Amino acid sequence: MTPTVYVHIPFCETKCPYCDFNSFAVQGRDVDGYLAALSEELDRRPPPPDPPTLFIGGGTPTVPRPEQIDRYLGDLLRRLRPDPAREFTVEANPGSLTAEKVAVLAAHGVNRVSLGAQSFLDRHLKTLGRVHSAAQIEEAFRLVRDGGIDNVNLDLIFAVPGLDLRDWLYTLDCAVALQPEHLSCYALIFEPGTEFHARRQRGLMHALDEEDELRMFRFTERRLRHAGWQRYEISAFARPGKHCRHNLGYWRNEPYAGYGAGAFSYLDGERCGNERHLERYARAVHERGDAFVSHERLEGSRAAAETIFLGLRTRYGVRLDSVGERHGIDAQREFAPVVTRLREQGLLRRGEPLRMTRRGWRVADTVSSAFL
Amino acid sequence: MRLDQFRNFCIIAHIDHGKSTLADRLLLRTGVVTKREFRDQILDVMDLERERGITIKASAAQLPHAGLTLNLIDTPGHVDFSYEVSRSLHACEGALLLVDCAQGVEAQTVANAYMAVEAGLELVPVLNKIDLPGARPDLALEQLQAGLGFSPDEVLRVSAKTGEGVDGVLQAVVERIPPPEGDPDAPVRALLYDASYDDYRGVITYVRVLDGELKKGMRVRFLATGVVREVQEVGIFQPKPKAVATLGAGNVGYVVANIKTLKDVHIGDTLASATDDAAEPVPGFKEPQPLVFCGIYPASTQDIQELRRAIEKLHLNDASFTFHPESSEALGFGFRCGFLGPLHMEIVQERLERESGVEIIQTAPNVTYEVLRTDGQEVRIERPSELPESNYIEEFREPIVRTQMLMPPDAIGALMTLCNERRGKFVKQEYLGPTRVILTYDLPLAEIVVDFYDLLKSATRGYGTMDYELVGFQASDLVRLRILVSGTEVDALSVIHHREDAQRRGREVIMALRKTIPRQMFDIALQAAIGGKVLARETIKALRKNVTAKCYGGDVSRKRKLLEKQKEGKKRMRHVGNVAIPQEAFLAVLDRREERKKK
Repeated sequence: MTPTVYVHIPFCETKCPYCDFNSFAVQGRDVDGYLAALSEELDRRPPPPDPPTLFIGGGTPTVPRPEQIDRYLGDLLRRLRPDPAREFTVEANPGSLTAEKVAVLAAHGVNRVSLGAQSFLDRHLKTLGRVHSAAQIEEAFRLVRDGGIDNVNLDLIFAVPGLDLRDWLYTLDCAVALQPEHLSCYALIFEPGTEFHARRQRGLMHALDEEDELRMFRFTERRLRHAGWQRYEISAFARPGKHCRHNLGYWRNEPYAGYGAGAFSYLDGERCGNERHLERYARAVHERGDAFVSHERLEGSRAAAETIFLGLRTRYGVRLDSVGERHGIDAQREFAPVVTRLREQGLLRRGEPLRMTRRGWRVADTVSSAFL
Repeated sequence: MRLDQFRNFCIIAHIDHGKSTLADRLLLRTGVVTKREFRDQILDVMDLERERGITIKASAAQLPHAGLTLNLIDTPGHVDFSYEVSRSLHACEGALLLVDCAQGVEAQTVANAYMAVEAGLELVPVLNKIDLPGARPDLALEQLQAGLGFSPDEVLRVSAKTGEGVDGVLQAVVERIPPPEGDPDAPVRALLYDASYDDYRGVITYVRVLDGELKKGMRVRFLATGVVREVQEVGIFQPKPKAVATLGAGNVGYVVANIKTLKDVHIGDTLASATDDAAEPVPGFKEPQPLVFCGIYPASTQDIQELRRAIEKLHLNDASFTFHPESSEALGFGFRCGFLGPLHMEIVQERLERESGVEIIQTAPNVTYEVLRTDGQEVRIERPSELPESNYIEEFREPIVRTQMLMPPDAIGALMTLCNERRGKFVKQEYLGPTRVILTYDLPLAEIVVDFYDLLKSATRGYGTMDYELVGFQASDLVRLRILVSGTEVDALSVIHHREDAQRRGREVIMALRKTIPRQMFDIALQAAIGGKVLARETIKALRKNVTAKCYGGDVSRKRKLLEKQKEGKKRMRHVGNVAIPQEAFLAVLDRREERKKK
């Protein structure tokens, strides 16, 4: 199977206090130097010429200047065969997107934009440390549409401290009103290493009550279903036919080639992580031809368990027979006791493929970890 | 050798009062060890003993002095080994009563002194550590006078550390301690006062010869067990074992007699000639009775064989603890172990973990109970699950220990409150001068098993000491406190408890469980009950939401590892019905300190 391609642009205007991605405030950073290293990595470790999907993530890929965006997109596409039908996503921040940048994206064949909207309430945007306002989300959305890109995702965050169910439904309604093709609704995670996590540890910030969070999770599904979006993964909702093919590749445990600082690749059954530090990344690429600092290869049951753990995140689930075939084990037999138990607990549906029940979704980690 | 050539004596002292240092000093002074060999605490052989500053296994040393043979018999230092102490005392005619004059008289000093007087020993009081700047010999002297009736001029003063006054000690041993009595020409009779196990030679028994003589090749009978063996070797301690041709009346030494395990010998037994049917046993022999029991389980179920090997090995060296395989629904396979007392329990556990490397889970300890059934039958109960249904119980008895606590007078109030909380019955209060009080209570052993000593220490800011002896079994209003998790009784958590206190205890256990059992996919009901009557209940609410919102390319490995880690933790849990209980829950139940802090 041909790997998909991911490219990481690790710059943002400011670092959001909840974000644990490999990203840095762009002020004072050597963006050109980084883009040169990225180009060198693409040279030394060439991507497959016909990847099924492309995804530029970050950070904020639209933070660099238009000519810089033009340069890295050109550097990437130069190495690929043109394919207008290929899903090509770029992440963007409503605060830094301009008509000029949208034009650059469109000129390179970008056909999907993922906007980090997060909330339509300015006070929540402030809590989250976002640099944009609610009004700017709508402006950015129009810029994308006007630029001819007709597949748009909005990222939204719920379970933010200080957010109640009504606030969240307001945000959902605003998002629905814009009629994007795709919505990603994430519950806030206090990731270790983030400012939010540190604040919670010190007792300065409190996670939302579990019942409230659960209510938001349930209402999200109901509200969006009625409006025509289907949940196809724990946090992902799409209009018919508009699910994100790139992300589905991750959840099907399919191969991908990642470029840039901190990007991961999963090639020939091996998952490798790039150096996260920008200068060290550039030096590694230059000296070694790659920037891998971690390698992991799973075999047999562990590999199979990972495929199941990822597949169960989606509404399509996983087929045990194909998992078994792929990883060379008798998955039906191996996982039979776990499957039986989870079905008895009402967390897995009966029959193939294995799929979580509505109840299973909200405790997906418990369900997944049963296979690990 | 004539009987009047011997002086047999021991040193009795409270922990850390310098017993081993004095013993070593005596060895050095009499030339048994050279200065080069001299190192601290030669008589203590085990690391663990040295760390804890106590002697577990009695040993002996022969000291030549002024043309005489002085046998120094080392006694175990702790209360749980009081029977062993009493047997060692019976091998002596006298004892040095050693008191650290910076610390003064302590609970064990008093208890051991009483025991020595009861055994008919001549006591020589010795004040140690007179060289210390904080020494208060006057206070210690006053306590010896007031508490034990010594006159000031019979008290010796030494510094075992510097050697000052040690000659006076040797002189007192010769002059004040009477030589042994016995008949060298009578048929042989010897008191077995201790034993140890040697990997190569099997059991080595330590004996005091009362009459006649022991020699290689003779056949001896152990009167209590009836076992007959041929003597392979007799010897003395210098302090290393040294074979000799004969061991005569009045002397102390060892016998090797082809005994494979310590189970075959009993401390306090009498050795006699195999052909002497009329031999009289030395009085006072008792089968050691374990008083405290707990379950010991491997933390990982697959370590059961390793744990078994470790227990068997340890048992070779310490036959005074007992073990039987048992299985618990919650903990799987393990062992029910019996101990002489709480300290003995602690020592055995520590040695097990240290010497085997197997991590163990210990269940809540319980004491031995006696139950008189309605059919007139008396049974001993070693674990809560053996208890008959309440309507078959005529009388339920628990062991009572007379507990002596020594402390500064300002701690009396706190100690009395503690003893009353623990169902103690006041016996008496005596002053040993203005700075020391002995408080005597009869307490249920069950009440002092877990944490009493720690509480005593904190109530007296570290100055209090205690000692206790079993006085018997008394009827008490005891119940089996059942702990149920989702309706299933967890055998490893159920305990026998006094009815009045059962509700509080039940609540403590339930709260400890609530804190340690993680939320699961369903509500978990925790109950403490007597019979069918629920005393306390709590619910652990079902896990409602547990989902990672984001999982993309770079997250996959990290998220999977996080989940694997959770899963690993879960694997180590024990299952009761469908509820997973972590090991900490079993330990949390033991630790009552946290609950108390809140009070």
